[in-house]
Amino acid sequence: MNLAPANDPILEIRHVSRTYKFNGGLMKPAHSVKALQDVSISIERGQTLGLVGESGCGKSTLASIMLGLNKPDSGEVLVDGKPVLSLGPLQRSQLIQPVFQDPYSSLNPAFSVYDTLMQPLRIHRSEAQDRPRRIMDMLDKVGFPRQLANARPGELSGGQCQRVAIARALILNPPLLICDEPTSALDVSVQAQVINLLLDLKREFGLSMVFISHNLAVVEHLADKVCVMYRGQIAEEASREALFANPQHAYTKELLSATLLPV
Amino acid sequence: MSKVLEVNNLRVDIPTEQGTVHAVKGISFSLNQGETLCLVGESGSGKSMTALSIVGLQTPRARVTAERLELLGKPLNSLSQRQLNQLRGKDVAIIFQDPMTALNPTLTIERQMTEGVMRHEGVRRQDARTRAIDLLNKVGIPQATERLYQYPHQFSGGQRQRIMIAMALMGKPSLLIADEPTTALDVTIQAQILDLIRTLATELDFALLMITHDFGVVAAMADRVSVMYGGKIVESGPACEVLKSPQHPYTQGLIACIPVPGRTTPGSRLPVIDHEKLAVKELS
Amino acid sequence: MTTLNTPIAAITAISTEAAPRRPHWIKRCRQNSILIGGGILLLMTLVALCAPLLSSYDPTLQNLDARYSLPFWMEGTDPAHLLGTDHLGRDYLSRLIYGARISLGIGFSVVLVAALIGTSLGLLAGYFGGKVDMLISFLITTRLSLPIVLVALAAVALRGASLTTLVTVLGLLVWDQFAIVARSGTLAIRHQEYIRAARATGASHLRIMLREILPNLRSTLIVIATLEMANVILLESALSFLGLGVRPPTPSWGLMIAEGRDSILFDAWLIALPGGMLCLLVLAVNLFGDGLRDLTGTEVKR
Repeated sequence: MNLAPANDPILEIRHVSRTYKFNGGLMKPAHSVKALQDVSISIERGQTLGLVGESGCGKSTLASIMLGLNKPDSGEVLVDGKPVLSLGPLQRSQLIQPVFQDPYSSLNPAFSVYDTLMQPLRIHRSEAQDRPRRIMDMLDKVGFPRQLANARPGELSGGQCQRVAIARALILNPPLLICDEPTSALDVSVQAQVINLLLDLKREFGLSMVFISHNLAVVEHLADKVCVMYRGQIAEEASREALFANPQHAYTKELLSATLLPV
Repeated sequence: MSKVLEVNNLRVDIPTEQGTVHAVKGISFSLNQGETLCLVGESGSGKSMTALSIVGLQTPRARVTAERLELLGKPLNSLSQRQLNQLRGKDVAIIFQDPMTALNPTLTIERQMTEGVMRHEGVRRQDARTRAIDLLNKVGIPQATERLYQYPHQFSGGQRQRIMIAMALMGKPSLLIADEPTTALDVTIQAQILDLIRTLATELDFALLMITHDFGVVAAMADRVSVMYGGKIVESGPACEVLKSPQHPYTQGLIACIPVPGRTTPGSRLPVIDHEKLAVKELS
Repeated sequence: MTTLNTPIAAITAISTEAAPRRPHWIKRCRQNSILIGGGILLLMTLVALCAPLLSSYDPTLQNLDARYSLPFWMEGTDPAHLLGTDHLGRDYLSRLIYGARISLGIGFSVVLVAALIGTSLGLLAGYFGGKVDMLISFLITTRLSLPIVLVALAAVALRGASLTTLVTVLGLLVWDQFAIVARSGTLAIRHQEYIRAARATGASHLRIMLREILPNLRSTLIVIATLEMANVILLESALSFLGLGVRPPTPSWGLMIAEGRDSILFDAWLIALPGGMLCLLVLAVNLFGDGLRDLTGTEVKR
């Protein structure tokens, strides 16, 4: 995939800014933090965008804004050509779904795996007699053993939890997946499994993906295009090959040199 | 070179309601002065339990047995709890993954840094303070004289880890145990902290036992490496050799499953460790 | 664990002396407190439910010929009345049994009302935060500053004593624990990733509160409910004793104690029996609640 002008963008972020205000309290003055400043990104259908940056650079705020869970101060986000904020929650959730970092806190401990996957189907009032089959099919697709369908998150390993979280995100068949550091809380061997799974699913469903991470090596493996964020702004945006071969921004260079590799 | 730590057939058993968990199943290693050993393993491999049991900080329920567990020739397993307390923070120090929970939020850095040496070595407050400022400068905390009187929350995550390191070095330990000291930090900060630990280890000539799950850290830090799996050491050797030509299938899998720009083809499936096959091999 | 068969003798456990293993009896105590408390509670509930089958007299039936008949362990008792009769000749056993109905019934229904109010307020405050939280926290603080017995007395005095008034007034007064616990629990859960995931699948706020958050608070709330119930049972008795609770001739243990007050020097058993029952019930509920709390690992501030 190359960086041709986005003919058919699945996601467009246009000049998004977001400032958080804190009214300091009695002794502290009020202050504000510019989490995002004029961020613009577009992703073509079927493409994977890697979003890299250190903690506090605005990655997660941007993820929330993409999902329509957080309102930008200015600018807009278009999913499939439609402003995400104009969509109802049901429409929106059929277009875009998240996978989060912490495999344990992203699953409700009160629900079994089966119930977790049942929730989206209930909310979307899907065909009732079809639901068990869809759930089991999805569990097969993410490589989660069917016989564990009634287990609770507490009885599962981190990798298994993350598989369930991915299954929940995909059960509504969204064309776009936002993965917010989905492997950084996992062991490296489990990380490899989750990366493989995401690659397989991307191929099978023709998914577009935003892959947020601080691990450049993982991003290099998964992404077609990479955006490096620094202090709420896009520091550098380039295709994978270009970014790793010839980084432009000083921060990108620092990130590349700081990445530890087993060689 | 003198031997700092000698561990022979160390076992840690934790009795639980479902029966005894053998967290560490008889491992042996030793560490010389000025040397860095990395204990590598994934969660549940027993690597942290090993580190904690060396300094007697394991969970109270756990039972630690060893044929030999010697620090500077002194057998650790015949010491009383009080003698162990004496030892911790003096001959051996430990730094943890999360610097925020390891520092007491209600005490100034000065109090937390000087308390140990004043008690262990009977150093006067003024001298302890000088030593603390000296170390803070060394770990790269600017304006150490003023910042000494601040509280942990006034420092950033990376700075807190630097303070933890300075605090660990107050008693001039011969052995520093670092339990995943950079896992909670950003990549750039991680590189800085590792760099700092390496420089200090050369300068102050202490032995370093580094616990990690990341072969990237091993490549950056270790002289020797021991790979733990299921409570046992499955492979050890000089770091560069193990990284270049790992012998045990688990080590091979662990190194191969990390994507490396230039080595792995982007978008290709990564090799995955077959735990079932490994478990069978380990049992037989 | 087997000791290692090694030639080196110095195999010693480092930490056995410093290992305060949780003694077995503590655990057994916890289980026992649930069993004993739960057993007594279950027995009393069964007795209360089957009251008409168990008692051979109408608890309000007066028989002035048989006043102050003595219970079975004293001399000169009337075998027809196992636990004797009171100053109006009413069968004391029947009154005790029917009294259990009142105590347990009021306990259950008040806790139900309070749980409904408190949990909804706590969920709203914790989930929405900001101004909603400020308002509800103010309500909680206001409620905590009201002396329950005084307010209940005033309300009952104004509205007139009746079962419904009593349940409503007490229900409106003891919801604070539920609200506090539900609020702090919700606050802790609200930022979990599964809540964000639920919102991303299009779940409404109401659905998230009821389906995603509430199940996680369930065990804590049940513990609070049992502990509050003991509280309410005592309150009801206190109010009935003061003549502002259950109206005579309905048998309530508090009322029975009040009625027996005149003969405390001559027939102390008239007070001792309902008082003992009250103690036993409250003890059972507390034991059960404490055991449940320990078992579920719930922290409850009392």
